[in-house]
Amino acid sequence: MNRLHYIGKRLVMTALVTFAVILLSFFMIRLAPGDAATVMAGQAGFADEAFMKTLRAEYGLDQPLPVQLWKYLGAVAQGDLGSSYVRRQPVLAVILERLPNTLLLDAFALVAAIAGGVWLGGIAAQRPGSAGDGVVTTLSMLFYAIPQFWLGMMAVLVFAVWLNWLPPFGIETMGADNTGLARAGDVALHMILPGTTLALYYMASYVRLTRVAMIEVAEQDFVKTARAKGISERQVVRRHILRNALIPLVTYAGLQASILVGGSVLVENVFSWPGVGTLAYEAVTGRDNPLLLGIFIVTSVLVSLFNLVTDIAYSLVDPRVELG
Amino acid sequence: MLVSIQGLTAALPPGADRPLAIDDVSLDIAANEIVCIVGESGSGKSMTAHAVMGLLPRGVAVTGGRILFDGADLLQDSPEAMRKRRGRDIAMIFQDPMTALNPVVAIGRQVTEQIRAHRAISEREARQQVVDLLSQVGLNDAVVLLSAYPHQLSGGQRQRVMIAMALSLSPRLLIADEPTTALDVTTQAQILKLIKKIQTERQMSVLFITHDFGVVADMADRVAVMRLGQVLENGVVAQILERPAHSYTRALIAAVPKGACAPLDSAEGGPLVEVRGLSKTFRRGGLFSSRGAVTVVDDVSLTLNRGETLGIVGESGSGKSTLARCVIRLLEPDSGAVLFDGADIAKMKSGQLRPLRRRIQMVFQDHHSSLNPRQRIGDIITAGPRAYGENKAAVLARAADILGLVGLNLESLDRFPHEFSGGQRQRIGLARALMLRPDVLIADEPVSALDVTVQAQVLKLLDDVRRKMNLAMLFITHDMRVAAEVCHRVMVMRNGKVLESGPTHTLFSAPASDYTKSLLAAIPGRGRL
Repeated sequence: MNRLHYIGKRLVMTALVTFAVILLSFFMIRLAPGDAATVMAGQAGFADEAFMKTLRAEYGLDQPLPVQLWKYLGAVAQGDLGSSYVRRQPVLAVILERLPNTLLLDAFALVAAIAGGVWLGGIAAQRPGSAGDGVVTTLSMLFYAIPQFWLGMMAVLVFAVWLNWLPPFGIETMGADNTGLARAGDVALHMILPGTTLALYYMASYVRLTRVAMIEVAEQDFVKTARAKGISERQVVRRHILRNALIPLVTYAGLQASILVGGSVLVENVFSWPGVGTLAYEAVTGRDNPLLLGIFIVTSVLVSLFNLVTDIAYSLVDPRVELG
Repeated sequence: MLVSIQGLTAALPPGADRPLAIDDVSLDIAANEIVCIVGESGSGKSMTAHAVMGLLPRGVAVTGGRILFDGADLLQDSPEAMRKRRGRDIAMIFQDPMTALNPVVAIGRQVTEQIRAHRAISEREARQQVVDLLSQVGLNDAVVLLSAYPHQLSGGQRQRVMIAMALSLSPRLLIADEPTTALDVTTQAQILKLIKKIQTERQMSVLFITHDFGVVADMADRVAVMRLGQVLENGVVAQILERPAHSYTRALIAAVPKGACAPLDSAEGGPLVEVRGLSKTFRRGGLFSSRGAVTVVDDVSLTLNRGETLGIVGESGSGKSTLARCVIRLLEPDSGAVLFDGADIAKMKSGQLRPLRRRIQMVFQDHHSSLNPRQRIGDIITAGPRAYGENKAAVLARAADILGLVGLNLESLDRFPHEFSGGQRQRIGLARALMLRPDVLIADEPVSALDVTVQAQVLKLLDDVRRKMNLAMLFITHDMRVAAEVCHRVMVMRNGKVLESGPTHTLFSAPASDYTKSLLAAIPGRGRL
């Protein structure tokens, strides 16, 4: 089957998945007691029945659930995710404003985790059972086991407060009004702490995966063939062992890219990173259902797309795999 | 002498079944000569070859002796000097072409890599050389092959690629470690012929490792027989074949199947399984597309009588295994009938089929993967009868009998599959099948993964069991020699169709189809053993 046909098929499936996500989250969100009206009334400091009623009528909350769902689905189909109760802005605009920040942080974390993981895993696999292997495996497990928020706070304490090397919070220096390269550098500096915190956690999996895969591949017959050719040991490792060991990594990285989209909520909040994660947190505490639903939809579409990219990447690194 | 191995000794890691992998081995290989090392698995023949290549596995260390190559001791070479020799002076091809090539690198690149590791030439020049090499080893469309991946090639083609790779720098010594053991008999014959032809043309020396005296008879100028790490005897091929000095050598030669099965001695038991017009087509693709269909079994009919062994012979891809799987209903046939004891099991619902299932049992080729590695033998062989609700004590009592029948002791019950050798595991597979007291045994290449000596034992066992339990046996093989040993009748299959069938001795003495003739001609060592 040709690649375009396959991609088309997968996009149809993405739409179906998104529909299911909307359906599920629409009802699940409403399982929690209270709605936007109660929150807004709470914020306003007073609430009589009439005011609550006006609020609910304004947002259509007084209508039966199926009607609300039907209206919502109709709007989503036209690309309208509704408007945020709290921010009084279109949901899509709010999310799209925050999404690049999250994608930037996640991409940095993922690349750093994979690069570090493959490198360290490769070192560990050279001599399984050696002291170096032990150090790498133990350290990576340690970072995996430490809670992310604690690691984040310690990083802030050491590198921002004590050493004063790196900015602790936010995405750029407030009021600096940098432009161009200066701004990029500023953002990069701000990204180091949250990005590394996230990367260290995810790196553990890549270390272990690379290590195990390389040890396993090293036993394969074609590695013996490679040595029999008289090519250098470095080429044996890079072209034959590592190249094959990376195949399972692609699948895993694809899965993880999906998880990262939702998984950076904690780190974003610890470092006040203005991304989708902090936005989701605000939406939950503010009972901002349209915003929350919108975040669910956007992230689920992203996850489906990441999976598609993974499958295509997989067929590129492993010629035995056919898309279909 | 090009190569002179003198008193070579190598130690196995502590805890192995013997202290020395190679025990004081001395062996010479002259220029332009093929030397075969023959022995069973574990004899140290492969270790000796790997020692010459400087590729002993981790944990195995040379403790004494010399390996002179053109007068220089390879064991004194630095790792870097030895690396430079590999591929350039000494090249090697391996047993399993399915796994010997890197699955994710294109064929062309895998060969050019070797050339460019030793010669300073561009990728383009190297590719041109590879095209020539691939043509020399009999591969057509060499230019297309450059960008093909191993999984797109057959086993025989892959082994040709391996040979092309080995020849790429015109080495003076080619080490071939059981290069045809994993191949069909017909492919084996072609590859053996190719190696011999290239050796003659290039006046190379070849160190050829094998367990099969049939292959030795076809290939060798001189032979060394190894057992338990030692060379038992060593001489020119005619001398070893005609006047073997050692009793072990005689046993190895005797183990080569020679096709002496008499027609069925007992009176006809009547048909037990009748297959009529069976077809099976595989369709590729899924919900949204179909990528064509392959008819693997095409209108096949056969009759299997009680107490009889019917051989189904064909190359890989001939549909013989698919046919067997349809007969036992592991696959659903598309059309046709399978009459078992008069009832058509091809169309039975699973509820009706279940009581009949136990009466048709199967033994598989791959003794590694057909036994669950985490189950004890006792659990493996009693699971079948217990699933049919038999009483545990009765099943265990029968397990003891069956283990005795297949030549295993009672302690085996508490052990795991990995504690057994290949031949023993195949016996366990047979015991598992027999525990259900079947009427029909389907043996799918049961000895293809075994050494010749072990092969002979398992074949004899199968025949004994058939006689004792009055089994009807469907024996699937690619090897005419093996078929001739145990089958009363043989059916030859190609591309899903039956070409001919008949009593074994008739088919062997007067084959009707050209294809059967070519199968017979492919038998290694034919007429020389």
